[in-house]
Amino acid sequence: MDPTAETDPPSHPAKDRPTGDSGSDDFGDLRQRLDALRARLRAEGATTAGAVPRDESPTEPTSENHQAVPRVIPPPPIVVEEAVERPVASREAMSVSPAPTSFTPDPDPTPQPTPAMSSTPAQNPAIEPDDPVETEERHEAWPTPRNGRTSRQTSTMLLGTAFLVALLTAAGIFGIQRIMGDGGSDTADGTAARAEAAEAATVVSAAPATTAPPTTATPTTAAPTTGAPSTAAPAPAAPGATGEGEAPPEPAEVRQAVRAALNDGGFSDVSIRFTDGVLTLDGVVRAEDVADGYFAHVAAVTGAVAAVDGVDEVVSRLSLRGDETRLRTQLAEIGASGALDFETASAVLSERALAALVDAADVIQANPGLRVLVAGHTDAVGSADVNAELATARAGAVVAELIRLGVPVTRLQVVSYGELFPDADATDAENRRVEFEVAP
Amino acid sequence: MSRRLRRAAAVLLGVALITSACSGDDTARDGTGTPDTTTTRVAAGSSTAPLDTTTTTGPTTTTGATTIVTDGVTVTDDTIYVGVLADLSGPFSGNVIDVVDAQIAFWADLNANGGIAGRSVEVLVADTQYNPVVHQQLYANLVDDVVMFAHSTGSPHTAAIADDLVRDDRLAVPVGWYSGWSDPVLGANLLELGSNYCLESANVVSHLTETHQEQFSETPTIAIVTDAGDYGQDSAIGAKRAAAALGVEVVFDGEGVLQFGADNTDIAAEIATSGADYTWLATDPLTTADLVSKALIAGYRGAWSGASPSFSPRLLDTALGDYLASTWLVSVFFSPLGSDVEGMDDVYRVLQDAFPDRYPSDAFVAGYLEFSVAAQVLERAAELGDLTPAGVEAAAADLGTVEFGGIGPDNTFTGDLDDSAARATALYRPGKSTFDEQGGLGARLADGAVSPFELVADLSVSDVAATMTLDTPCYIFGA
Repeated sequence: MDPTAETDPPSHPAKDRPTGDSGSDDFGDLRQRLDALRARLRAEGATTAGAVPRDESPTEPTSENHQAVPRVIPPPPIVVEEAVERPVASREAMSVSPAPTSFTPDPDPTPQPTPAMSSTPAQNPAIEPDDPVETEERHEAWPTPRNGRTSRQTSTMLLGTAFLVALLTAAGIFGIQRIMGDGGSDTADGTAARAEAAEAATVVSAAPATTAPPTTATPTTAAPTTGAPSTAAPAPAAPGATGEGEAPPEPAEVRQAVRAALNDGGFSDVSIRFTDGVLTLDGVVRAEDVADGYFAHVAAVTGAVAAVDGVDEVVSRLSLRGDETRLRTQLAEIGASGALDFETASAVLSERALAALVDAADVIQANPGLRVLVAGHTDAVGSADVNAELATARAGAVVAELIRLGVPVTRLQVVSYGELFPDADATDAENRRVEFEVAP
Repeated sequence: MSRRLRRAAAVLLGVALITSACSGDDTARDGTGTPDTTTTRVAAGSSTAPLDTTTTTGPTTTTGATTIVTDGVTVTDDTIYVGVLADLSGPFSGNVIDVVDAQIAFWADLNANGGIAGRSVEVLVADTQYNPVVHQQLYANLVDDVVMFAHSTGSPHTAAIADDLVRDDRLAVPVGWYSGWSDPVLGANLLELGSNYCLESANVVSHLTETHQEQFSETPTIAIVTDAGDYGQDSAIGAKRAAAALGVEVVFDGEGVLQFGADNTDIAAEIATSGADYTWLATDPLTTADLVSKALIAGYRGAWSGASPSFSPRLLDTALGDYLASTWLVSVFFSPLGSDVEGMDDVYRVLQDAFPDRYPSDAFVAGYLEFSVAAQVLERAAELGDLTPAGVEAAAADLGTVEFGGIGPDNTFTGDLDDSAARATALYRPGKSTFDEQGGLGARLADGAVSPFELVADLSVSDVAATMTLDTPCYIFGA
């Protein structure tokens, strides 16, 4: 006899629904709403069947779908949930009862933007534009140039270089020696290193150029008992470390030393946050890194920085998943720029699109551990079937270019939305687009 | 106090703590001195009661209450090695990465609380890419180094190593709910968690039929569209059995027609043409997005549901989000993250500490359950004094019924596998408003964000599933 069945007597799920689980929580109500929608669509179709189709572009005789069969497209067949104002349920208040009993106030009642709209840091609660630490994170996350650099990256390099030259000149000889040592050792994460070097250059009593590989580590939250750091001993003073009575290193110095230590250890893609002596490591652990032991790898990363002067505690936030909020935000910016819009009935990438995809490829590569949905859209002119094919072709063109730029095909997935999801506020031209979504 | 002194003090404190935690190890390693005793504490969130078992921690140590035998390779004086064979880059990677990350967080928490019999647990991770051949190769690479596999993604993939597991005296926790795990040979060394695909689809089709009849006084029609193989076809057969038992007409039988990455346009057109009231899917979330959008384009206006791995809350962040929130019924084997069940608070706390900035993925719960059952088996093996692979294998048979504090159905790994199979599944609706209000993909555990799923029907067993015998799998390859 099935023990589960004993504790849960055989019964029908529908009869087991708690009191208050009305039909509105089930497909029955959905069916009613669908029927209502069908009726509405039928009515709209009857009144608009003979309507004159929108002329996408009088100067462009070719329609969106290559066909001369214009069609009035009804609203997308979406049944939207009733717009019920409901604050965020706290975890404590979370109940499986369909009738929530208590809620915590919504700290930000502002409606969330639609995916296509939430493209700026200001719109994304995960990004704090005024937080210098987070700002640093974004810099570090921005991809290192591969074969070619974007204009933005080139500009950053030039500005950084100019800034460095000015600071080096002002800092004097002994400062120059130290700073050049840092800059030379930090090649794998150029942008972040430049920022950190610039910060360090402003401090006369800067930290040593490189930190000696630590032999011991402070305890970490991630690998407390596994690997080398578990046998921690008092960390030897790093060369050039501040002695007793000396001023503690500035946070910028610590970050610089940590970055150098990470680069020396081969962990250049690890992001860092440093606050009040606590160093938080963030980033993606790749499968190839942990074949011999996940905690051993984490211990190696934390051990590489544990002896850096000024670091009191190392916290690992390393994990297998990339930062999907950051990826989503960065890719949405590219999509919202309009660079991936298309001409009527065309799946040919524009020069602007090709340039934008260089950035997109860099963003995807800089955010490992995540897959990307490349979603093709069309305007509503022409037949749905042909528009679906056209949307597929557009997304396919983007995927092909991303693959050419070095993005593994396994990280990309085409989806065709055809004309299903027009942006209501957009023009037809703006709806002939490709957007990126974080793959589920 | 200078920063340097503060750091030194912190390091010394850490050394003191670690020395305390590892004192048993030192004794075992050198075989000298007074054997230290270790109180093995179960990780917060584990459903096992604290063992409070006094043990020695070396294979040859003879003093103390228990001598623990190890092979010195898969379990050493200070480390227990477990394997993870996971799809970290294939079609299910979106959820599987969360599963594995959660499992690792719980192992870390357990290690921080003393480990098992004074040993830390180390996790050897391999990316199988959802490829059965790669899965087998990686199994062969890892098997000599690990005492058990705490995760094995995929039903066909796990089935491919089932015989090897028996031969090699290794256990595995499958992340694939094939009904074949009830087969006494195929499932002998698998620690199945939750129900299975065949029972799941029978439960859901039963629910849809009953509620539809209540609402419309008519029997609904259904389309069944699934992946090929042990996952999709197992699910399809359960759905068809329920349909046959309940008089539901299957207007499109797409058992096994889906393949990841293939063009699904024709299949979507068939769904639309069928006019089914409901479509049952058993596939991956990426294919779900593709198929649903194509079926919409083709004019389909029915509703959807699918096997648990077919859906991910991350779909709510796509352009399909509003549509799916209204037309998809989520089937689950376990309680969603943040549910008001007994064991959830401790689970949530560990995840919150480990991943404060992460989205509240329900897959974390599966990771906890995997960890929980593996940890309990290892702890039982330590209690029995044998942490060799064979000892761990024997411990599973000795474990009895495993409970998860209401997070998932109880599981038993002994006796008749047909009798012991869990049969209950639950149904939820994806709550788009909750998803959006919490910040979408930006929702954070640190802020107390929870699963956006809203309960429709709690864990329960349909009449069809209750009476289904599992002495043979629902789907048998080539049969």
